[in-house]
Order: sequence, then C-alpha cells, then structure tokens
Amino acid sequence: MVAPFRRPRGYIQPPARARLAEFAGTEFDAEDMTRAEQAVAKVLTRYPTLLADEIDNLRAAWSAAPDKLTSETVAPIFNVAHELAGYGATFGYPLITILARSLCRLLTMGDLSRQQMSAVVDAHIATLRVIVRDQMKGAGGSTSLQLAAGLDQAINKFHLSAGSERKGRLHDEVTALQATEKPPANNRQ
Amino acid sequence: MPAFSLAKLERLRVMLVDNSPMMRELVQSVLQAVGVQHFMTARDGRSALDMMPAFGPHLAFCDWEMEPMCGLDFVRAVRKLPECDNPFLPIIMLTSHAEEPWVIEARNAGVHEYLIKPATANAILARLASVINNPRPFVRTDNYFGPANRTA
Repeated sequence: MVAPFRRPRGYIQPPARARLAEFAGTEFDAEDMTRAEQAVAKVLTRYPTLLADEIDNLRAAWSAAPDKLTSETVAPIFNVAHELAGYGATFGYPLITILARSLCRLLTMGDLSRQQMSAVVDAHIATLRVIVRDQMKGAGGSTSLQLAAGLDQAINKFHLSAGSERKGRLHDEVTALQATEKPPANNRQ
Repeated sequence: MPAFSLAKLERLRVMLVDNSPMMRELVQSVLQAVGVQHFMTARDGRSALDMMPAFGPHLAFCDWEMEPMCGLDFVRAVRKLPECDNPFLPIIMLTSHAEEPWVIEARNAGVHEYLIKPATANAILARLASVINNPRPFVRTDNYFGPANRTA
C-alpha cells in the first residue's frame, strides 16, 4: 500500500553555515577540471592490482558461501561485487562495472540454493577474470560482445531453473556501451 | 578566472565516509585539486558520527555499503534531532547502487545529491557545485525530515 501523502508542516531555512553561504558562487573552469582529472589519474596508478585482487576476493567469498543463500549469507559476495562495480569504470573497465552489477542483481533475487546459482556465478567470475587478464579496457570490441552473449545464456538458464521470466541483458548493455564510444556521425571522416 | 575556486574553497570542511581507502583518496584528490584543504575521513557511518562534532564538517560524501553502520543509517542518524548537532548537513551519497529504488530510498532518508560510482572528477565537482550554489530548504513531515525535493 502506498504511504499516504504527509503535508509538510512548513519549510525550514537551514542556517547560513549549512547553506554553505560563504562558498556561494563557486564555479569550476576547464583548468580546475584538468587538475582534478590529473589527480584522479595519479591516484589510480597507486592501485595497479586492485581489480585482480577484488576478483580474488569475489572467488573467496563465493567459495565460503553456504548451501542456503539468503540476503544475510550472500552479503559478503554481494559486497565485493558491489565494490567491483564501483571500481571497474573508475579504472577504465566499464565492462567490469556492467558484469558486477549483473551479479549483484542475481544475488538479490531472493533465497536460493548455492547449487542453483553456482553455474551463473562461476560464469560471471570467470568472465571478470578474462576482462582483467586481457586488459579489455573501454567497451572491449567484438570479444566483449561474445563474452556478454555467453553470460546471457548462463543467466537465461539460471532464470529458467529459478522459475523467473527474466532474461540476460548483458549483450544489450555492452552494445549500448560500444555505441557511446563511437564518435558522432558528423565527426567521421 | 582559474584561481577563483582555489581561494574560495580553502575553508570548506569535508567529511569523506567510505570503507574503501582508494575511493576516499580519489574523492579527496579531486577536491584538493580545486582548493579544499580540510578533510575528515571515516570508514563507516558510526565512526563518522563519532568524529563529526569535533571536526564540524560543512558537507559529507558518503558511501552506502559499509560496516557496521551503512551510509543510509548514517544519513538517517544525521537527520535525527537531537542525536546529531548538525541535522542540516548537506550529504552527497556516492554509491554503486544505480537502480531507481535505491535512489528513492536514499532520497527518502534525506540525502541532498546521489552520485553513482564510477564517479568521474567532472561528476564529483558538478555535485559539489550543485550543493553549494543551490541550497535547499528543509521540510519536516510526520515521517520525513530532510531537504525538500526540487519539485517542492
């Protein structure tokens, strides 16, 4: 049931400090952006093996998962997948973000057995490893589409066995990602 | 005027709440690049609440998935008077949860801005500028206290 609308008793003006009044009018120009992007690049060079380490953590968390998967028992692996989703594109690997989010969606489907999920989780972990091993940065070209199609098959099989009508959509997501990497038509020579 | 933000933001006090050292360092580096000098970092919501009174932040960047206190509970605790000394604190949630129900839940807890990881330098600065230049009034209802929706 939808919660009934609660009429505000009135608007409250936060104090000047909370309105950040002394900083009003702050703007960032192209030089600010360049400095900030350079700062990000510098931080990322300090974490060269982070993605590979996180995939190892994912494998370890999945290996430790019990037979009965509930929101509580699945939390350790979900948390690692969730972190990977955040890190992936930060490091220039948007495919990792897409796959990790797919894994998070599967892990939050409800109470399932480890046996039911084993093949689809293993397929995600194996594909994540391939992406890092082969350094498939950006949208990854035709190989990434093949990997996505293969994972979609594993996802569809899992949904079928779980009685769900959902379908894998990784191929579509990777196709959309690749479209964003293409230059605008009027810039093509 | 390139040096404008550098001088302007040197007094800004920012709290970074994230269990990932890399994400904390990344956001801090972006903000330092535009002149922010005062930071407090915490690896979960509970630690952040404990450190808040002494630090006196102007705003917070906050992750969602953290232990023992997650970002959503942190936001709720900040908005709850009298447990927190600054219930109006602007909070930018920085998370990998991209689906709409999560965004709505964060908004209903009282976040000002929602930023989906991976966060680019551009996106972080855009949210910062938005929080600074578009201060929002707060509303109190029977079941909500926080920034008013932009449509309100």
